[in-house]
Amino acid sequence: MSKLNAISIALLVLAAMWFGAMIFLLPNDNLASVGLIQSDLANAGASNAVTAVLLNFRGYDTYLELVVLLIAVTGVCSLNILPTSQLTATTDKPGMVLDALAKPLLILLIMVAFYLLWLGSHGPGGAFQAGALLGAAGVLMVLAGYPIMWRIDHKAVRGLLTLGVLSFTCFGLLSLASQAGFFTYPLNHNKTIIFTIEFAAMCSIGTTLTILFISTTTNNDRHVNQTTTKR
Amino acid sequence: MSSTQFFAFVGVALVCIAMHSLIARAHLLRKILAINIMSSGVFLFLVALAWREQTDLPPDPICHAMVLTGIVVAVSATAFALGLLIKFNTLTGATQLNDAQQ
Amino acid sequence: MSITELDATDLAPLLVLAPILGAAVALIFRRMATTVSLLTTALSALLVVALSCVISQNGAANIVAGGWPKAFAISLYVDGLTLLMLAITGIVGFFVALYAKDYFSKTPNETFWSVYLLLLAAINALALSRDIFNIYVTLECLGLASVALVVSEQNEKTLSSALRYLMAALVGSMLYLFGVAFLYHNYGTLNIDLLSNAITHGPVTYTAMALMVSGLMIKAAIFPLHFWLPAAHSSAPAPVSAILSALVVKASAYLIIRLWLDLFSPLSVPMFAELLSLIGMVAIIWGSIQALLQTRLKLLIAYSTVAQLGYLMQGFVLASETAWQGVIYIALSHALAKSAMFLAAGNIRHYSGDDRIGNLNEVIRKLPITMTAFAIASMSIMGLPPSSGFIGKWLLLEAALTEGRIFQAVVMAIGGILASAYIFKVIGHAFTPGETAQSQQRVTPIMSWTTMALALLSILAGFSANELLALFSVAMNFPGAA
Repeated sequence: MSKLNAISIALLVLAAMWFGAMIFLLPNDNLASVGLIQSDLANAGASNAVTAVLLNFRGYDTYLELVVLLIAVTGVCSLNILPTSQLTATTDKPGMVLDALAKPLLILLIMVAFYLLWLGSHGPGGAFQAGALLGAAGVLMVLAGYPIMWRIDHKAVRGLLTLGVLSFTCFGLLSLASQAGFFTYPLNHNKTIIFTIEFAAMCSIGTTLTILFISTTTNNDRHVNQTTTKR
Repeated sequence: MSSTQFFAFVGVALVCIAMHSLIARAHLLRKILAINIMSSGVFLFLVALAWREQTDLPPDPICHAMVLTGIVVAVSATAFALGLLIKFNTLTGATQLNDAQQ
Repeated sequence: MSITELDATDLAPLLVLAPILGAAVALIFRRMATTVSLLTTALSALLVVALSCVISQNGAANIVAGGWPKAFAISLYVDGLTLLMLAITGIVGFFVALYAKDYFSKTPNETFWSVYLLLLAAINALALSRDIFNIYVTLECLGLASVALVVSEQNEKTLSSALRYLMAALVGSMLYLFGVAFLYHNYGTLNIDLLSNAITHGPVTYTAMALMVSGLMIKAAIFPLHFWLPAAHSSAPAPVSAILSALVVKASAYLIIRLWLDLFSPLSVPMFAELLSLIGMVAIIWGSIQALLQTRLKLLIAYSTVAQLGYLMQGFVLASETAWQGVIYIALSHALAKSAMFLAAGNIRHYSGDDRIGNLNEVIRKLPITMTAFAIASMSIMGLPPSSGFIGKWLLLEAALTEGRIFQAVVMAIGGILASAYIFKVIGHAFTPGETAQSQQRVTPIMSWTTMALALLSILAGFSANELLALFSVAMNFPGAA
């Protein structure tokens, strides 16, 4: 084992040095696409360049990325880590501090999530950041003992999980049907469409993260969390 | 060495450290974490060089978008890997893969 | 509307959108899942046929998603090689879906269908993509979906092989993405056409190439990076094994070929080509010998995949049109024949609850269609005329002999002989009379006949070689000697 260790360390130090040397060989002048993107930003439907790239210039990537999330959450749920009977709400109270803090925190989290979603059109923010906050809100609700034992068994939850992918797919189909060209936004409606897709994506991401947490956390872990908060 | 190059190098170093852990450690949780760190290293490398110091242009938004996409993909993959590991552990009680088995 | 009025720019994106839509519907409305999935796979197969007609008339098609400048937008591209990947995905995807409907009828898995459709969408997206970062995203879709399918039956074996598979897939895509990062920072674009115009010799380019190709080699299970394949492919349920062996590893091999022919072609690095070919030759011999040593049918078929992938690596060094046509044909015949073989193994396992080769004599009387299909599909793997496998291997041998590469030709011939040896080991056991086993689960006619259909297609593809080769070579510019 130690021999493997030594060989692996030696080889990887060499590799790090090689890759490090490559960094200095990379060109130092501007990247060609930066200027191009700046000039197209006016027609993108979002003044923040990163949002414009994510939702418009390279929206197709984001679409497939939502598909990856959907595959992961479906995969985790199909593992049936918890028997269904265990997935009911816990009856224990989570303890005074968490109980008192959870509600204002939740309201704050959800408000900030929507703020970030709105901010995404012209500053750093957007569906993924907002979705992550919603996911955090979901996890907090689970830990605080709120009866939201969301499971993939509820049709509404499955609808929420697919909402982001579905809205993108519908947009793709509509763009083909209207002869506009694959994933091309109509110029006068691009802001509305981008916001709708972002909203749907945010809901899906938040739900996905919550479900991932619920379905990989056994009741045992949850119980440990709760007893630590009581102390 | 400029600061962007320094951060890019840190990214490279992270990739190599993670690769070592992946090869030399048997515990599955360490392997999954190693893959996670490896992806962080690649993302750091990708995003550090988004800003080229010698120009007035803003940092490259494509790098940022790629890293955002990559992070979400890495989160999904890690979650799925952890789910598999938990299930594997509840079924077998083991935390590492047996190399002899087929 | 006649087929000529259809436009490739509308048809190609539908191959990605339709399965994803189907998957979403199948996930939400579980009662409709099977019907929706079968309809979607049938629709995808029809779309591929229509797309083939359009492409063979109008030539290759380029689609820019969003209509933005190519420098930063994502392009899709359809040429002969893309069509090959789309065609095997359409055909195998449809028949395996039919098979899976009956295979899983006793033990329904609620999420199988949506993941299955997402996997097909990922392969289509991967085949169409002309953007190296977009390819990374499709690779991750493909990897996660494959692993999720492996665990559609959960036991110690599937879980450990799934974990191994997932980690191999993730490391592979990370290495690939690392290479993409180098290319992007050096050339400032992700579009394959623009990159190939700009690409120059240099350490950065070589580093990127080595990273990307080695990452893909892990995913394509090219020897010696195949360590995860036999366990994953043999422990998965039969329809899943069929898809993994026929399509998923081929998708990564397709990417290596695609990048080699389109992205790195201006470089022409003979050293690298020689290395790939050498690795391929070792894979042919080693995989075949391992297959010969196995006592379980599914493991034997899985190792045979390792060997057959070695043939795909022979095009790089021969680099003539004949050689690449051979590679195209082997990819086609292997996809059809190997999926038929895995489905046949699934029928046997379904029937007798066991896939030990020594016990095969007990099932032959009860599963005549399955065993015949297995024998027919084997002809393609062995490379016997008039199967499609024969055409592929013949073209490769011819190319090797014209180039004067006797050693390569000999290795490929030995590979064929070894393939016959491990196939006859199976068939020999199957046709010795023995006592009949008790039936565990019924093998439905659909399960037998889908197996037969795929096996027959692997033979039929050998009869229309000229037409198929013309179709799958549309707009391909095979380079001369590297």
